[in-house]
Amino acid sequence: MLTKEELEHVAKIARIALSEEEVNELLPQFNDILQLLDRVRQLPLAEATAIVMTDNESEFREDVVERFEDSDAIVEQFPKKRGRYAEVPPNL
Amino acid sequence: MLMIEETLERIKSGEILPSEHLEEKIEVIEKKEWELNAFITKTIELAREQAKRVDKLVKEGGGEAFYGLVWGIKDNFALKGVRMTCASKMLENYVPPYTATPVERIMENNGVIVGKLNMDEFACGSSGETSYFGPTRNARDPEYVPGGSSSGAGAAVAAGMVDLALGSDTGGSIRNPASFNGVVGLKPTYGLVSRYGLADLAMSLDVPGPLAPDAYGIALAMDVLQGYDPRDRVTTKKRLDFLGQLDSFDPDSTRIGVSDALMEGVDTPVKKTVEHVVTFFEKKGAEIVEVELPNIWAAFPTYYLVMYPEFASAMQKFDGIKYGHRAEGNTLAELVSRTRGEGFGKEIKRRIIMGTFISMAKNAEWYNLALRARATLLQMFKQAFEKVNMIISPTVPTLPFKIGERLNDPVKMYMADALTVPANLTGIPAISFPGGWSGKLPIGVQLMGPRYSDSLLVSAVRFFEKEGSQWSE
Repeated sequence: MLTKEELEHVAKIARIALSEEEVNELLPQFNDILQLLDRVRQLPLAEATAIVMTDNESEFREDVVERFEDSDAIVEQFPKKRGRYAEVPPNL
Repeated sequence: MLMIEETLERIKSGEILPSEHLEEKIEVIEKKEWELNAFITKTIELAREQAKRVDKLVKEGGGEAFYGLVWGIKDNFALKGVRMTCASKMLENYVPPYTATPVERIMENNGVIVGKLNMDEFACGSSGETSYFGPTRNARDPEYVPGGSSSGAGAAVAAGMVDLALGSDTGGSIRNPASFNGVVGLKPTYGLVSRYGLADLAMSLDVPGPLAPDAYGIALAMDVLQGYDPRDRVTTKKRLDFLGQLDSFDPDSTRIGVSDALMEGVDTPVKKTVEHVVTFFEKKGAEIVEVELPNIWAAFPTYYLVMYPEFASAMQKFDGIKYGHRAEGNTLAELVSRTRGEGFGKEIKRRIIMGTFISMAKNAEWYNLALRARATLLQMFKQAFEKVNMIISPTVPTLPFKIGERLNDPVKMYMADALTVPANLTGIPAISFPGGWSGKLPIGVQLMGPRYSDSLLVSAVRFFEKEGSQWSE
């Protein structure tokens, strides 16, 4: 079970500002959901542990720098910028 | 809803030009969009330019593979220069600097793109109601939800606003709206279609795929969409021949699996529809085999335990600095927290916080259990597919529900995914097609098969369309 303090802590590390109202709405929902998810414990587990989702051999990309042709389009998307730099407040 | 082959025939025979076909579709959009809200951004001018180019090709005897068929693209795929919102306030004004591989393939093959389609915010939902741009409505009855998360895709195809639509499926997001709107939707084998340029929800589960009015449309689309992409390392080099195998379904050599475990808690009309389709295949010569899926119930908790942490991780990139919504703050942490608090809707916050919680060291047991449960489910399906070629089930256990009915009850909303998530957890293909009707409401039937049986599943649907009839009450 998740307590209110725990929920506020998790929201903080998830970097999501929640209002008091949101916390009160989310808390019972979380506990309902967690109860449901906890049922996974009742599953008799098989010996198998491998989850293979692709039949590709693991391979690494060539370690070559590719220049993105339209860097202006990326800079254009910065919500706040100074010249070609994204602006951020002091990171303290 | 004109079937895809008929539309193609009209264009190929010169009866109508791609541009004229496009104008017909625009007319339908103008007539129905105010009610359905299937689009977030329309790209009419772009579509007209593309159609004009295809006109010329068709006149010269070219235009393959789509000959100007009109596409809608779910708004979580990038198309360079066109706003891509993921139906979120967070990306309300985001313009991607590149194009997704599946979208690029559609354009290269002379598909005409008429707009970006509405969806649940960041593909999180089963009803199309969590969009920042307002809910989409069901094309068959606007009082009802269209299913989700590819809500606009399902509604737009069913309403005839587009010929084909590109969706994405993480836990049922193609099949659920296909079922609720009475169209066909394929969740391909994981790795068969490139995810490059798709905003990720959960990387080990996401796969793009088509929605179409019929199996032919799915086959036509898949022959283009599938294929290795060096930009997505999980894509396979294998190719399937969808159109080539479309009419080759042989019921006499097909074993179809049924299981009581897939029918638990299923609404009566949905149950009757599935039984009707099973009877059809049996009468045509298919062998119906009981398969044991004793642990299928565990797919539901396993899915959420796997998806939440992957989603929380995928959403870390939204910070108010590089792109998207930004709130101000005196410190970086404050700026990021406020940006995310303002920019994300309820379900997104719910999932990120849940994912963060499950990812905490003290909760590692849950996640480890989920991974082992996933391997257990994989093995269960592997054993089942040693006995049968495909497994039949409902797509969604219930009929479509009314708008607003489940929005504040996440647990009930999640239940809509119970029969679609197993295919995502195990990477297998699954298709939903209309098998019956309860009044105006369509009922989808799902076929699941082993990896790379995608084209077989499409051919089975084609066979049903040609030889069978839909159940109705």
